[in-house]
Amino acid sequence: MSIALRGVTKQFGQYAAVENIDLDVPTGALMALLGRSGSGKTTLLRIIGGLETPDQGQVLFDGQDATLWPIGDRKVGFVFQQYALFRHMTVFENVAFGLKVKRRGERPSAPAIRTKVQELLALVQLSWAHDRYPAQLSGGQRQRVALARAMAIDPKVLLLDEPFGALDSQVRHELRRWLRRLHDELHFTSIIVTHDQQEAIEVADTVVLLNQGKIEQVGIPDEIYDLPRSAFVHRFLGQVNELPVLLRDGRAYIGPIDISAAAEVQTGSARNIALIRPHEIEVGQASAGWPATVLAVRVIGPIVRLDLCADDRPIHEPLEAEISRERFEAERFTIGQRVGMRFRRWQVYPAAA
Amino acid sequence: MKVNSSAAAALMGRKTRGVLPGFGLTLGYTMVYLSLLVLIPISAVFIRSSSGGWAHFWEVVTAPRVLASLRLSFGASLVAASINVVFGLIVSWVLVRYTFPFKRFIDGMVDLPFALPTAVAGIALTALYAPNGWLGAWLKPLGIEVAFTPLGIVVALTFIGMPFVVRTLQPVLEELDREVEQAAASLGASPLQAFCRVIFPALWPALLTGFALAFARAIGEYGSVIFIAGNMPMRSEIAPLLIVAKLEQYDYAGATAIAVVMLVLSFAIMFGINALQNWAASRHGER
Repeated sequence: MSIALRGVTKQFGQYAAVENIDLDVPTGALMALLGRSGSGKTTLLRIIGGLETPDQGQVLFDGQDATLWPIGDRKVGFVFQQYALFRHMTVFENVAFGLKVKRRGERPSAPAIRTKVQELLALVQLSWAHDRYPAQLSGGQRQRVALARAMAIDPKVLLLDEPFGALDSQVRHELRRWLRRLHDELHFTSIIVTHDQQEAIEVADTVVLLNQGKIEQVGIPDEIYDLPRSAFVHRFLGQVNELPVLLRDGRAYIGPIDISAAAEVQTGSARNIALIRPHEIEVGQASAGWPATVLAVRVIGPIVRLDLCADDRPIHEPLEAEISRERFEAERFTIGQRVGMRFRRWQVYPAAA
Repeated sequence: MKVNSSAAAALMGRKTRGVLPGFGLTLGYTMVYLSLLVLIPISAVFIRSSSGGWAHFWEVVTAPRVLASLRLSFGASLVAASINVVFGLIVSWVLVRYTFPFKRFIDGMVDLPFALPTAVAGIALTALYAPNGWLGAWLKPLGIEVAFTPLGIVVALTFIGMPFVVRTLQPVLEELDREVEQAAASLGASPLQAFCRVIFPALWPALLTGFALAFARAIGEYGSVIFIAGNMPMRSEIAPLLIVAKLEQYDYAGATAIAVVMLVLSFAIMFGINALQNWAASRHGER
């Protein structure tokens, strides 16, 4: 089922949680709503799910206006951050709930319910736990139960609100990959809310970045990472180093490096900044590039992170550079060593943004 | 052989120390306190009741007037506690779920039955429900008599038991996860189904506790009841009143005999309720 939002606005008192949002979610997509807390991403999800009613605008399901449909009629599977399992029911009863509350005419027979629940539990790899209570399961297992429960009603849309937010990083990583596989097998439309840019990029086909109730950028993960449309998006999607762009004699510089050739800067009075990701900094011999001093070296598995104090830059604002382990083994940078930096890539934005 | 440190400590008989010391002292204090206040008085009741001999005990306890009063005491308490469970749930639901003007004031009003001297409550209720009272005058043409009947006793016991149910339910309702209800709704449950299958099961241990507290309070209630009850033997005479009556006639063995029966019955009921709660808790594997 495809979902469309048209001019959706929701206010809580004076505070606009989401403002005039237009968004299209095609059938079978896995879309991530990404943003900080307070960006409106959860409100948007809850509006789609029918847990909130928008003040203005429309929610369309397959082109039909579903704005005021009661939540029970939307055929939407909702997965909550804190699982929201029924604590007094076993895993089996939890998953069977959506089938058991159906109206008499639509309710499957008891054996049919049993078969269906067993299938779902097998799908989430929890067949062994059918007679356990949620309190007896780990966080990751509980969330899988919640997912099975949501899928029991054959939802056309799966809405996941920070589903892995309460789990530790290893489990989170596994569940993400598992969710992605599940999505590819079952082809329902899914929307996942997250504040973790890594999660959004890893799991989704399309990433929607929200900021203060508005959409900053929509795109496929690569695109949104490589071609951020604003400094906000650029900063949000990973570590960045920020340097002022200096204008001298009609030419633009980052430190001593002349970037005028890239022709991205309109020479004018506006102040600009350049954003450079740590892996876009090349570190080499002191003779070439912008001279700097190594302040710290941290080896993190396959990568090595260097804190560099560029000459003419304050010492308490070191730049962060990432180089590969192999390169580090070859060069053996040490603390205090003089090096030269070059920038492989950068993006320039107006400083105010 | 490798032994982890906590196991090793246990092997050497070492205790794990909490941050605050004083287990021995506080336990000793607890025992003395409970003995002085609870155990000794209660055992005195048992000893005293046996002073007249078993035959006398049996004679007192099975007297029709005593049996009628016990039936009334426990029956009226049961009815009152049950009423409180239903309406206490509604009151606490409203107080937790909604915001409305004077909410804090109404919330404070719940405690009035706690704070009011029970005799005051009794007199007020009697004045209200007496055949010539504000409410009694309206009820009398309908054939409903409240004051000086068992119904009056139920009214008084409901009044004094209400805060117990509300105050035990409130914190549980506040902690109830709204997302669980929303999950139920998204799975297609109607509001009634969501309440019966999801909310109520989460509430009922607290409801049971509230019921037990209101019930226990009602059984022991004296002050508010004697005014409204009329205290007619065999009809509207509660067991605690009978104990007082016996004491006034210096029949200590008789008074304590009734007391022992009340004690044993109350204890059995409380024990039953507790067992029910433990069973419910262990079922969910959250012990």
